[in-house]
Amino acid sequence: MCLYAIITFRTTHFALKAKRVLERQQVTGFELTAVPREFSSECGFCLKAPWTERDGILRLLEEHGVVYSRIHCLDRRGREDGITFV
Amino acid sequence: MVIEIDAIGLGCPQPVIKTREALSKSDGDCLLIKVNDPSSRDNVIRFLERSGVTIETVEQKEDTFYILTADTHSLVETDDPRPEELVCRTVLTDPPGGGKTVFFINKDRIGHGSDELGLNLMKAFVNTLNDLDVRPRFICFMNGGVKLTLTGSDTLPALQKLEESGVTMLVCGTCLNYFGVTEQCRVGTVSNMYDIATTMLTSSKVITP
Repeated sequence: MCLYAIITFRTTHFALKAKRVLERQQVTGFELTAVPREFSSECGFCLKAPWTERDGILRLLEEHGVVYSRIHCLDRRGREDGITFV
Repeated sequence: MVIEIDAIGLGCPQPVIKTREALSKSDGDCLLIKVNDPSSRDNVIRFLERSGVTIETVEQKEDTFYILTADTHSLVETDDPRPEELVCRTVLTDPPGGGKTVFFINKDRIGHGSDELGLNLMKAFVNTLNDLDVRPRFICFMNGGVKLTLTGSDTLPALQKLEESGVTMLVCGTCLNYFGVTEQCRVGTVSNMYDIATTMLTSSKVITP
């Protein structure tokens, strides 16, 4: 069962912009953090957010032209439980 | 009379087991337990408290913690604590054979070039430390680095978690005072130049991220 969504990005600029966009929209509960070692990503930052909030976050990112790469699902133990390729 | 228990270098749960053995044999004596690991210190203290033993002092000299109990005449009957139930932390606070490592954080961001990038790098850096199997023994904060320890800081929860895992944090009191934020410091010990300099001089490695 997915507890957290890990959203990865093609570039660091998109990762930082994602954080700015979400902060401006007063979204809480997410964090910009280092991509877990077991995931591969072009950019070392990712967004970690509650799985239940992912749709709203992705919608905001798309509305503001933030391009993301993949959405990983982390289960309760912090292990990967599936990837959604975008 | 004081019974001395040398548990230096022993892995969890051995310090607690030795303490329990000594407690069972003590005839109202005080106990002085010596350990050199914060997790062992916490486990022994927890065990003694659960056993109804009053702890007089807990002192640190160099790398050794000294836990001194009151006399054990006042022991109250409790459920027999089982050391195997205690949490044995497996996180190392230094690389194997690596001696004492200190992180010296002297600003609230990493590197130069972009402040936005530097602030986010520092936050990710501190958060990542909690996911690693090896950690520094000390983190010293000076100048703008003290901002990481304040209420509302993005890095505060991660630092508090690190402290709970046994990392000792020294925060420059002069720096907190300069920024007018002394009351907002929420992790570590407000410290001074003597302690911070001594900590760095007696370490095997000082890393400034």
